[in-house]
Amino acid sequence: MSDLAMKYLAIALGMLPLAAVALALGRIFGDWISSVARNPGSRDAVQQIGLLGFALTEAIALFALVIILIMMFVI
Amino acid sequence: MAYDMKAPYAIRQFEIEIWIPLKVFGIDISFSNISSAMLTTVIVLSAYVWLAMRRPAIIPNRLQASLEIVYDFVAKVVIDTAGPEAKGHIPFVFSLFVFILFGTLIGLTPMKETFATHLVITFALALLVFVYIISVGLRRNGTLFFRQFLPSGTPLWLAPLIVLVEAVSYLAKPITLGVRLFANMFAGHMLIKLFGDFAALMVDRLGPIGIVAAMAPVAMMVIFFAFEVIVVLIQSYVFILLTSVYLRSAIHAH
Repeated sequence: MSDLAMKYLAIALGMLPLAAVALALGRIFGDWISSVARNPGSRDAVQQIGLLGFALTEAIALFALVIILIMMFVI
Repeated sequence: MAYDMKAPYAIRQFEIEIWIPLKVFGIDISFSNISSAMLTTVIVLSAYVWLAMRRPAIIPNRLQASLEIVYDFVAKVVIDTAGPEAKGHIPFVFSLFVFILFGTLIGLTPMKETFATHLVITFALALLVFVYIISVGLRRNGTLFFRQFLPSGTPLWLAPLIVLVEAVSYLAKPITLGVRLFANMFAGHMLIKLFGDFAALMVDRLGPIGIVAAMAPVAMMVIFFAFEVIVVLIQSYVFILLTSVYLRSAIHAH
């Protein structure tokens, strides 16, 4: 394979974390919904933790994005 | 106005324009558009706080009440996370919070740069937090501060490995803190302006049909803009929350 092909392959592989992030986000929001549905009184407490978990998980996808952009434009 | 496909605004928005070149002892401290964005933030912030607390009253007016809501929010986060001993650190965390929040919110106004889209700035903020927390930990616990690198009950033969792992994970904290804010702001701003570029390209290439077709990317732009406001609020919150978590580990080193 040529170097350019390897580069694009590496960029494509760099998007694999998105699969894990998608699973994690589904889990976060699924558990969020079910916990609020079971105990509506816990809505405020769950909201804070849920938003934090969402932000921390989303950051993983964005780390991958940063690495991909570095591969695309710098290397 | 022809649209230049080689230089989309989504990329060009991160360009640094040097307005006043300055060099002190070989260090480049030129006044750029990013410096101006930070200066604007500081001026707006100072004016807001000064106006809100000009005549502090027991029954606050609206402006003072709005500032007190922000302060109470930060104080609650710090005390809930780092414990009541961290009360003295609320001003530091509050400054961080309002600086990031106002800076990113001002950055969302048209034709204004967001300084948090530059890795240097967010790394500097994260490094400031890190240096502050290490100095707090050293002053409070002395050499006991380093106990957190060795969890109690570790077998002696494992100790060198555990200390190495803990040290590396401790040093990774400021990097993730800085990159998290940078990546969120960078990706969000790129996404918004990418839809703007789509719209500009359609209008440029397709003419009258393009103006109708460009409504779709503009609508997406509006949606992502609203999303970006939420992201800004959450990321400022996450930044101070993680700062408080690190503060707790510095105060209660064990």
